[in-house]
Amino acid sequence: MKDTRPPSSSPSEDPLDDAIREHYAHIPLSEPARQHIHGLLDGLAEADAPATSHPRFLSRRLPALAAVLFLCSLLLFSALELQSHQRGLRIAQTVATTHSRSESPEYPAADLVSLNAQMTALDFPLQPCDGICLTSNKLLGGRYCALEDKIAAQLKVQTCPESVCTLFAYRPSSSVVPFPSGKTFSLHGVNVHIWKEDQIGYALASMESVASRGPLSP
Amino acid sequence: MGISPEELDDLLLRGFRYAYSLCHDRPQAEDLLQDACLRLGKKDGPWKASYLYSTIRNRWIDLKRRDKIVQFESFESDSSEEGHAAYQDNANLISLPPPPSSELDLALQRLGDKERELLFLHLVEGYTTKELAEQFDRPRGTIMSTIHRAKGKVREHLRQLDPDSPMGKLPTKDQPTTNTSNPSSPS
Repeated sequence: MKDTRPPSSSPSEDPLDDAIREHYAHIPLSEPARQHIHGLLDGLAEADAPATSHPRFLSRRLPALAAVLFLCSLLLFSALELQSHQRGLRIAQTVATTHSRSESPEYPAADLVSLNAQMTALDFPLQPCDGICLTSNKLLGGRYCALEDKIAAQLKVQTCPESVCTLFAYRPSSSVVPFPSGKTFSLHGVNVHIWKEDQIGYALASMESVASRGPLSP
Repeated sequence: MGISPEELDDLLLRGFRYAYSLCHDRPQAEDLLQDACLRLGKKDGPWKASYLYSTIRNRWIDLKRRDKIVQFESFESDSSEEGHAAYQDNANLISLPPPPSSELDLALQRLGDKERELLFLHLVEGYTTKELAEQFDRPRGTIMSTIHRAKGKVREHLRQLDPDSPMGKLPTKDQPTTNTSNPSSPS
């Protein structure tokens, strides 16, 4: 059936047609009935609207969504923390093994300036760091090594007459797994402390007996 | 709802008149319209005359079928004095539907549902006989003859109600001769 109202202005040939049109045109829908239907339809619209509206949908599921998000965040954080710990363990194993070899420095130097002048292959300058004081402790020299497939410098530092620590420095690659900064590992009698300063990763390896005496930094 | 209040009012009025053309009873037409609007409202439309008319018509058919299955006892069949008194009391308390306002209304009331519906759709809503034939799945000739007979019946009824009615004396070119002799049995 079509929806458009026909033109009713043109009179037809048969006056009965016009009379019937006129008759139906004067049959009104009563006001109470009209209002009742409007009320029913408004009620239907109000009943349906909250069920499909976005804010109500969200408000009902917000706690569940928040809980799921929190759980996902917790899982992600735990996974990253575990990966970071394993990354630190790998670095510590390399550092502890290298330190245990007690190799003599390739480039003897008493200060960082002369060492920087000799170890030109490094992609970063050697600088004083907070983890160990190179002025109060005696710098013996350095040599090249590799940490996490990146070129690294291992600096031999004499902290006391009978003990030599090894400081490793390298520029770690950016990774989703966070750098294990501030972590300390003990492997095969070697204490390894890892930290990061100015985008440079450091790992200080010392024998556990030396490490137990106290911090090497001033 | 996808329709403005003014458009809805217009649609309700058209739907009510269509429902009235089916049942020729104002309270029942209001009930039909209300039921149809509720059904459309639950489905969220579409708020178009065609859908509203179809829904009203389906509801009307349902009611007719139910009336055929369940025979209700009429108040007027109670011939006892007590029943008659109760009916009169009720009639005084309940606002009964107003009586037909015109002779034309009475004449239309005497038509069958289908005849009234076709007259309404053709004359008031402007459907062509071809459109009505497609809508009701009937030959166009059947639609045309039904409308023609219905108009003849209306004229005859008007003449019976008031021999001086100008409607009963309308041009006879549209008036079938068969209906004038026996209006209740169309040929």
